[in-house]
Amino acid sequence: MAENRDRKGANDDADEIDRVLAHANPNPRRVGCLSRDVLVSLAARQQPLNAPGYEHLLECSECYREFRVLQGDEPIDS
Amino acid sequence: MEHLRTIGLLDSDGQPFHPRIERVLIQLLPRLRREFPSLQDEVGLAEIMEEAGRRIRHRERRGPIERLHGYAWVTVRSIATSRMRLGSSKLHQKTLDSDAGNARLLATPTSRGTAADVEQAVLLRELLQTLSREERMICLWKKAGFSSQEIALNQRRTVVAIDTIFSRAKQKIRKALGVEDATDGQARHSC
Repeated sequence: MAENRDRKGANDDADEIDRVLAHANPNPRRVGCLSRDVLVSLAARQQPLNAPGYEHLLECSECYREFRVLQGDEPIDS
Repeated sequence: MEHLRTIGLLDSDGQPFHPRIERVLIQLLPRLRREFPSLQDEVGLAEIMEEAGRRIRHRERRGPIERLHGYAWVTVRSIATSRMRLGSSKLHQKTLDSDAGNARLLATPTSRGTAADVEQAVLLRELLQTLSREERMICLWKKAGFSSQEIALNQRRTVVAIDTIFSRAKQKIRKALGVEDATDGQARHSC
């Protein structure tokens, strides 16, 4: 139960962290971007925390936005 | 103009007009193009001239027109004005050529890649860089849905330490973005 609350509290709503990660690193040419399969597995937490895909999400706002959408969140516009 | 000279103007029976009428109409063609620049279709121009020729011929059945050039121009202008009111001409008037279209596209505001977007990205990237790598990763893992316990286990830290790092990272971001910190207490409890 506490575990569920912990997860929900951290990732359910678009917040300041989303705003930063979704716009800080534009990568319009999609250089080095993750495949959809990898994004899906990251969004489903099927990969370990040390998976290199998470590093990429910190460097690519396009992938981060896709990742958040795949988690079932609303698209991040602002 | 060369086109009309070559094919000639025909009346409704397919017969050429009297050379005097045809000559006057062809002389008026440059003026028609100049005063009605949106009428660029050669066929459309020929139709205007032929309609004018028919009206002139009809009028001349009552007797010769004294000032044919002036009469012909008034007739041509009247027909051209009527054509301009037709739907197809209105569409043509509202259609830009490629140069004008490109100019319009360049001037059209876009919601992506604007100067404001670039400026925002620079500011947010600077803000992100004020966080340590550990703070950035913990924020991301949290957004990915990992619990503090899972992160603590992976990082060989305590849950309290992870929560503290996460809370401080969020405070830094909120402060930099100028967001009110009213929910900070809640955030700490929920972490």
